[in-house]
Amino acid sequence: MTASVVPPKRGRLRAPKFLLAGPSIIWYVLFFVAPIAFIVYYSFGAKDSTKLVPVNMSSLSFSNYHEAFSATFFTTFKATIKVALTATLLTVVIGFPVAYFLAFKVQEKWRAILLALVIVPSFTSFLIRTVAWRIPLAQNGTLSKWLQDWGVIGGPISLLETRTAVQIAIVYNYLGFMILPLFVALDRIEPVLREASKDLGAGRFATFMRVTLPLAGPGIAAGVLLTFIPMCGDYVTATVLGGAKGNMIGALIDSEFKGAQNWPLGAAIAVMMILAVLLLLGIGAALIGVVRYVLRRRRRVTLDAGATA
Amino acid sequence: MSGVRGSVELVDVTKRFGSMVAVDRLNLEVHPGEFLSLLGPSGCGKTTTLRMLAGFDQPDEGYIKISGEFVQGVPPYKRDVNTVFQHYALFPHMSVSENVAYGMRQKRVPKSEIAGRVAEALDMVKMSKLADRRPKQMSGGQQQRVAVARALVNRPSVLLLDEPLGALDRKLREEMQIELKLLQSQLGITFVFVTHDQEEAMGMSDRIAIMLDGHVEQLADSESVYERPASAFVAGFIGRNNFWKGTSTGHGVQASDGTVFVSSSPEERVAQGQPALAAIRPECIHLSATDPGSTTNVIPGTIAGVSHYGDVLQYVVRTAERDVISLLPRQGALRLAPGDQVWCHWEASEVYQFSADQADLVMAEPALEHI
Amino acid sequence: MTAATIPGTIPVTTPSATGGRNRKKRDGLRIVLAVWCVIVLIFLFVPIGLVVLHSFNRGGSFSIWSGHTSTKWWGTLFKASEAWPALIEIIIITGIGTVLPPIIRKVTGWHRRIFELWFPPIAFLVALVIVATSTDMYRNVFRDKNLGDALRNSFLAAIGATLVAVALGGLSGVALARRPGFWTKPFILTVFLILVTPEIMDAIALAGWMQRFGFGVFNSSHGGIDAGIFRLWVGESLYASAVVTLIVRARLAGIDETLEEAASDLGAPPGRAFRQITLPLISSALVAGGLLSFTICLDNTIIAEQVATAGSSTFPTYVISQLRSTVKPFVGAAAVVLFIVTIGALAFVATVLKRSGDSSSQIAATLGGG
Repeated sequence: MTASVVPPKRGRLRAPKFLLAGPSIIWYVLFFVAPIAFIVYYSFGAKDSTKLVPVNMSSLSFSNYHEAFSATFFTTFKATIKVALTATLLTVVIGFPVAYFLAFKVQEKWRAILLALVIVPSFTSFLIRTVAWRIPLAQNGTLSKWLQDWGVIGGPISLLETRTAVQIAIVYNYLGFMILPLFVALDRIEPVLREASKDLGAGRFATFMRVTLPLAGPGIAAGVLLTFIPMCGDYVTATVLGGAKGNMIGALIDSEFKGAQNWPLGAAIAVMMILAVLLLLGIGAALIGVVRYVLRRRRRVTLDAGATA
Repeated sequence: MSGVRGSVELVDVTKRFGSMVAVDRLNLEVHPGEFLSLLGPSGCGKTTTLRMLAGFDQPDEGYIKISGEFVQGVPPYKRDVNTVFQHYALFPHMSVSENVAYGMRQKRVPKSEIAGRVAEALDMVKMSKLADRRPKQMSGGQQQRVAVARALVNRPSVLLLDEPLGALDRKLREEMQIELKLLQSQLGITFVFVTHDQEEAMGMSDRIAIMLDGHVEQLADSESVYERPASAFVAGFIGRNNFWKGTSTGHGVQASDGTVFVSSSPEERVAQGQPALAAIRPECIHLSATDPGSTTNVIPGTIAGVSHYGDVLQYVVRTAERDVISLLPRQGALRLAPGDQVWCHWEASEVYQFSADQADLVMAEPALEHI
Repeated sequence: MTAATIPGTIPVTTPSATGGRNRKKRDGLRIVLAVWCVIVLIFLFVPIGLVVLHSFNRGGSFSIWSGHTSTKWWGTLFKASEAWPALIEIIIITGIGTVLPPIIRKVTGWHRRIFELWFPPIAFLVALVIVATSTDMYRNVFRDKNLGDALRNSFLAAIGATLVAVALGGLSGVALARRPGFWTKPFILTVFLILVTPEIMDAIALAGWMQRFGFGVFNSSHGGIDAGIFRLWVGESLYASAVVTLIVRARLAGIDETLEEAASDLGAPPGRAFRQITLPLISSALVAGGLLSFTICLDNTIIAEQVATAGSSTFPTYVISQLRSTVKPFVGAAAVVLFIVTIGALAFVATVLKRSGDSSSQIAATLGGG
């Protein structure tokens, strides 16, 4: 479904162009842009529990950011990024073959059923799916029993309240949201392009590397964005399964806001999180850019002047 | 003949998709260096046939030989054929020269050689100036040229073309027809060209395979399929024809409206007394304002319409049961106006007779059709 | 036609002799991928299966399997004598909504496709509202009052937020597709930011914002609805309206504007052209987007956790609060009810999109966010 680009028609009797979007614009400014601007503003203030909004803005400073960089917070920061990066990588590795199978290797009638099976778990309650992982991961839980039955481990294990538990559940929770955009990206590649590649002598692997993968690139990027960013801020999974050891940055922000009532510090951590995510995405984009540049260099065909003339 | 590079041979090839039989026991032989067209209406199996030659589909039954070798189970990337796809199928993420270089890169052709051959191929299709463009930045005609260069640069033994000119406008299409034909005769590569446009096929091909319902109705050169159509379908599909349904008289056809067709070369395939079709091409129907005084090969009517097509005039003559189309050269033609009484008549040598099997197929079409 | 055998060929020794069926080559990669796909699906479904199983746990903990099944926790959640009539009422009202439009069409010949599309989900919502508010039956359906209230709040919040989202997203989706201009880029950017901003950020921002500027709406109850519900309508509508916007825009981008131009060429003023052409075109996108929003809002945890007040705690916030002690199996039972509602909504989305001519791939694209 490529959007056909219709040249904008300058009608005579058209109302102001954004009139229809007016309600949304007001809504988003009022309830998205302004509140977030205030969070950024709060992050430079100081805690003041005596007020309804417990922030004292009389003297602005970076002290909250200093605190956000302190050892405790920074460790959680690093752990969160590590969990999110690992989980993104794992969801791509696990999800890509599934998306590829659905897009290219399955008959149309089966495809609808399999797609439905991928979609349904992704849209059932995120929280309950996470809580469900307490069952296999608990001490004497299902997983522990199976592993003992198979003789993999000697005694009962408990993964609950560990970072491993969080890692497993995050991969699980976001897998569907990775598979869908990957499938859509692969499915939108015209089959005739892959046929053309084979017709020109490229085998399966070469076709995959030189045609399928580059054309699916934007979709893969979309999938990564749609999973990596929410993962970084996810605190449901950490709260339900992580305990103290599996703490993630989202839970930290939550506890500063709701527990400690230290809004300025919570705001500073939140801003740091966003900046860190943006930085990482920037690095990612730069890496992709470099790889593409190198590949393009290798692919380039320089025609000698003599032949062209 | 077979065993030579560039020959193609299909023997009893059948391809089904579910319960639909796309290609039905097809037999076809293409000579090396030949320009052969697969011509037929949509759904006749011509594209499926081409896809089996390219290796995208495998025949369910029968076998295919390319350059004398069986290609059963050989994947497309190991076949010595290349395809020009209907909508070009240029890789959108590569420039023109990268597209053209793609095939050679797969075969590990040395880099120095690639550049030269790409330049040569682009030169051949007059696209050297746009070597660094992306496919999206080019017109359909330009993309078409690149697609041809991308296929030919690999020097395949057979080039397969799947309605390559279908998306181009008329003028551009006619230009490309000439260029493709020239390229083919220069390079001496076998071309298998799929089209539904009979003029295109007639103008370019050494031989035409006219397909219907998954099999070949007739395989012959342009002149033969026009002069001696093997079936009523071919007679109606190549050029145009006026058809009458009737009964075979042994030396002609007695049509249902009473017209008697006498042929100078009676058709032996239709037994006397059997239902039969008679056909006369519009350009063979002469008009006269007076009764020619014959009881055979004549039908009276009135002029219903006149159209001017430059050097020819087209008359639609309303007769008792149907409209008859007559094409006459402008020079020397009678000036007739709608309402005029005329007699259509023709030479006995111009009468075609066919069995009535395909009557529904050829007579379902309305008599009034575009040229 | 020439004969099948050509001098010089030896068809007898062909690998697949003439007339014989050619053997299909096995695609090894395909088999490996199929197996992998099945493994992943099992991985996706095992926890959900466990939730269903453990809602029938006889023991006192949701997490630890007692080894015995029992429906006692369903009994703890629902009062059977009240729950069955409520369920039947919902099914009947939804059923009427589903069969009524075809009957109306048959009897009167009056046909508006858009109404047929909207009837079943609206009937379902009406049924919920009737059961949830107008009678006492609802309060008595649940034996556990806290969980019952939480479920009710979840539905109430999700319905309100969905209505807001469909209205906002529908209008801005049309505006994006049909009235592009200088505002398009910043607007789309905002929509994408809403989609990707970690929810915790939105949540704390909104919570602080509403605490500071209550506008008199978010701090006090109106018409028997808790202020927290208003907060949830706003909070949950943000993400949902972004989803609806993208779905509507994608639907209209695939359809040429000449349709609307043809309508005005045939004499329809802009308002009527919108109602008679544009609205029917996007109706399937609105239904799909609306139901998607509904399932997303129903499940919303993070916004609810920060924004909701004591009187408006939803099912997810209730579950979170239970985590501090032992989670009881009736939480699983409630979750199963929500699963069924969600799957029903998804099935309906798929039906609507399929009827408007989408392939399964396009439906997946819509669910994946346009």
